[in-house]
Amino acid sequence: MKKYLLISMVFLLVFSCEDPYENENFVVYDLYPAATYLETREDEFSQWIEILKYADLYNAVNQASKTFTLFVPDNDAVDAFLSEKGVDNIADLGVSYAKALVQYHIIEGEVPQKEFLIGGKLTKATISGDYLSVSFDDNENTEGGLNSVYVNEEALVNEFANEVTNGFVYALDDVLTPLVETVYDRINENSQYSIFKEAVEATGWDEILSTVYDTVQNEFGGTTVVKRNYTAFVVSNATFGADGIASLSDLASKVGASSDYESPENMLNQYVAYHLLSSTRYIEDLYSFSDGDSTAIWSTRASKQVISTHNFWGTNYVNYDEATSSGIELVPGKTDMPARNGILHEVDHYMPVFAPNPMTIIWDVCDFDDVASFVNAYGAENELGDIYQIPQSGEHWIQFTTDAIKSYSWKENSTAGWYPPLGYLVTKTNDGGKTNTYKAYKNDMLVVNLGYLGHVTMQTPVLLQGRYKVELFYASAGSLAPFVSGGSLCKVSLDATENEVYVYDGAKASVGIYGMTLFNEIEFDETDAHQFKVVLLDARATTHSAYRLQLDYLKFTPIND
Amino acid sequence: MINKIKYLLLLAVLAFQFTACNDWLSVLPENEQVSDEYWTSKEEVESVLASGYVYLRDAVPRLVQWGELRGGAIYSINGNDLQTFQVTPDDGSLCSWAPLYKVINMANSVIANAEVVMQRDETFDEAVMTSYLTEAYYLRALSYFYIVRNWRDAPLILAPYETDKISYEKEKSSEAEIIAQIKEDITTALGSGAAKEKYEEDWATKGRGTKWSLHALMADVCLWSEDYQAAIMHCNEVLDATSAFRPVFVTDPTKWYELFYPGNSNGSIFEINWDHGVYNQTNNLATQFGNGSPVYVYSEQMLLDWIDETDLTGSNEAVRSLYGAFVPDVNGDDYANASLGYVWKYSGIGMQAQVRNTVNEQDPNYMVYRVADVMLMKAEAMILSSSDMQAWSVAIDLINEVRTRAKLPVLEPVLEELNEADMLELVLYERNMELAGEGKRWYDLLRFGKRDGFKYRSLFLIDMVVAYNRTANPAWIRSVLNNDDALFLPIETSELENNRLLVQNPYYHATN
Repeated sequence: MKKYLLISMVFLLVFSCEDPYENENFVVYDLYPAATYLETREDEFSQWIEILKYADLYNAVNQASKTFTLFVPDNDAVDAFLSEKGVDNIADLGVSYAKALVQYHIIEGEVPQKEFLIGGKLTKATISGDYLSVSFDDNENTEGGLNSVYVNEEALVNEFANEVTNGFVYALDDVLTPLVETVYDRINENSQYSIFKEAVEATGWDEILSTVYDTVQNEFGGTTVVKRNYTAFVVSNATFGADGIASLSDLASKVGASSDYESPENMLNQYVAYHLLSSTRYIEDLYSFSDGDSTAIWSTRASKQVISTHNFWGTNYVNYDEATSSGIELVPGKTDMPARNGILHEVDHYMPVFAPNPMTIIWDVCDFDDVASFVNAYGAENELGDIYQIPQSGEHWIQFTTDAIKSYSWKENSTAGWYPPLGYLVTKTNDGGKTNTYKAYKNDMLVVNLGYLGHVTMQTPVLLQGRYKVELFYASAGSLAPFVSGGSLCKVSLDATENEVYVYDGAKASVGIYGMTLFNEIEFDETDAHQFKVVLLDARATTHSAYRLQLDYLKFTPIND
Repeated sequence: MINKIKYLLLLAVLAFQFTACNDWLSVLPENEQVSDEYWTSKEEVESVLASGYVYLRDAVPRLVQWGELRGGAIYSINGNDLQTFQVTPDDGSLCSWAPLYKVINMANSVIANAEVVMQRDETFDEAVMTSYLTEAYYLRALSYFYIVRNWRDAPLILAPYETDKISYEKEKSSEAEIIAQIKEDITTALGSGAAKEKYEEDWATKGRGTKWSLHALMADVCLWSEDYQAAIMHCNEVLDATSAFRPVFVTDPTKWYELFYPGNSNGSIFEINWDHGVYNQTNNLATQFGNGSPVYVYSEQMLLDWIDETDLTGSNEAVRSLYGAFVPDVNGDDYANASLGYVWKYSGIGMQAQVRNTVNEQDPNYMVYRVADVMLMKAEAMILSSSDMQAWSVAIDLINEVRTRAKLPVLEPVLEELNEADMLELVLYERNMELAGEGKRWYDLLRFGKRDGFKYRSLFLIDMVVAYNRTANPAWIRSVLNNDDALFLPIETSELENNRLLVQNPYYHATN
């Protein structure tokens, strides 16, 4: 029997007309791995091949075990790039430069044409750890469509997704310039900023502004790499000159500094720290306000000092002073200057430390640098790109680890559900990113599922001295129905001031953001940051599998008499 | 015994192998014809002609996609390269013109052979033969009109592929040449005087080519080629007709939905017919649209437009909005809070929430021309043919007739304060709402945008697509729509391989 079956199988193999590949074309003979493919078009790409070899990455991109997407500038592009750099040969720029350059042009993984043409930041990082962005020139005088697609707004794409055995090759009309300069490098390279640069160096901030990645030691001896980001408000020599400052010593005496510049209490040190924020804030971030507001407050690196940004009558200001009806402006064309570890904006005044009036503060409880770094690392790992505060096509619940997250301290007790004990929720969007399903502020929430008597503590931004009403905004959802009737007891505190509240009381068991008052009135004697703590006092926090808090933001509204 | 079974098994396996070669052994599909000995009786002519309509039916899924997705009023929730303007030559069905050339081949066969058959078959009356010819010309013209609007340039094939003697290789003709041929076909058909005003069977009066459908098509073609006087003339042939069999604009709002259910109504001119009950012909329009789990839904902006329109009449008095052309994803009374709008024309049975019977009513017709469409075509042509206030007020009156039937307030613009663009915007808006989901939107935007040397490219093409289409990056849409060649589809790869005289649309050369 077996024999006949075998025979008939052979017949089937020989005579069957069912060809599963019937209508497909296979042109196997012209598919090569990436580097070999470039060799077949040597007359167009020989220069880049040379750079690949010099950087010792030629063989790497020929590996069959991995896939790559290569962005390859043609020979004219490389020539133009070298001549702009003032060199004849890639060797003149050194191996490490060549490596950085090439790594910036390679993504590990495949980016097919259709994914590429979605536009915006690509979701897979380059080998150098950066995200390339795709944009479209929609000016009516351009050819348009496939003929007007740019990478990083600097290199026109000539050819899309040429197929190679281990990925895709895109041909570019220009070399991409990798962002290698740090915030300090940006200050250092511009002679217009020499006084500010000297202040940065004298106070020791140059080292911090040169840091891109920090390796943080954790309590168990392990380490975590944290990406650092800064926003620097730089001042040009000309602007200093307008206030009679011609040198570092002039500046030191203007701000009343003694000579121990490296001390955090030193006035010059404070002056420099006051010009720095611990995160990347583009103009768009600095001047987007919550509903009906036109003012925002930002904690600086100077202890207990904030700057304010305002948009009045269509003009963007920093530290607008109502007493004098004037404010500092940003210098046109000198804003959003990118660096590897942040961004620079030039201001049109030397910007001394200033105390703005108390104002409403909206504080997103996930607004911490280490959270951003941690969440974006998760995004990179899962090929989602940067996802911090960016709504996604599906929700992501990202659990914090004590190694990586230092902005919260927490105590975890046993729980019943699958929700992360403490974590970050990236919301989902159904409209291409315009809104999220919860309508959550900044598209994120802090998830707290620490069990009965579990607690979490975090530091608020610097709040100006005064009296405030404090409200908490949190999310509810259908699965939280058991907690909506009667609420869930929590103890909240700001420093030593405590209050017991019932979260979810009065909310609906449907997806959305709800508000409650934590403190009707609380007084801060001085301008400072505060410790905000939540203790879970609901026994169901341990027993009920749906239990968790999803905290969105705190709102501090000043109380004026 | 055991051995016998073994041999039987082996035989059975072998038998399967041979029948598996269906490329060789199966009979030709009913609707195909290749034989030299074929053309002997009038029934054969009729059957080939009928095949043309069958192929047209087969093309409907593509007609929906080509006509709607790039316009963005309706989008596919599964994603589609048309709506993201990412069609490549390898996108098979999306850019294959084969469904239309199949119709053309049937039409060509009838045109080439009808007279020969008449000589062979004495029962084939000349009047009947000429009447068949008008239908063949209509099918050919309609198919080429879809081709020209989607590919712009294409091979103009006017003879049937019946023998191996004809070369399959043919270069493209220009848009102008194809348009000229379409007009010539329609003129020939109308000139013969044999185009029917009605057929014996009611469905055929709307489901087969008629004098009325020829005029409607001609008006559409003339609008496309910017021959506005001729467009008006052909619209008038329909709108001013006095024949008892003319299609009429049914002004009764309660009868509006009859256009779609049961269909083949007085207000219709030509619709592609299916009949589930009698012939067991079905399609999936009711499930691809509708509020079950559809593939196609209204875009966000279109939903807002429907909510606005429902606000104007109130939900109980709505005609073509709530439970007319659209149903929300919430209760009808709560329509203002809808987050998704479904297309209702193919799925409902009237201006109410009830869906079509799934057992014997999965056969909604696909509307190609109807009187309201012709009225709005005339309005468009009136605006463009003259800047005379009288012509413009005729246009406004036509729009208002359509609006009045939908129980919407009439437009009372001060014509002296309006310019051509303002007037055109009124027509375009009305077309979008009245003809929603009928596969017209993309061609409308393209026609409005490209006329007069792309005078209105930004206003009516780019800005509209960006406002309605949320499935792609706005900068990408703007950029693509700036490229004249990108407004048309690529020639499918296999066509290029089989016909080496074809030259790909230059826009798609950079594509891989």
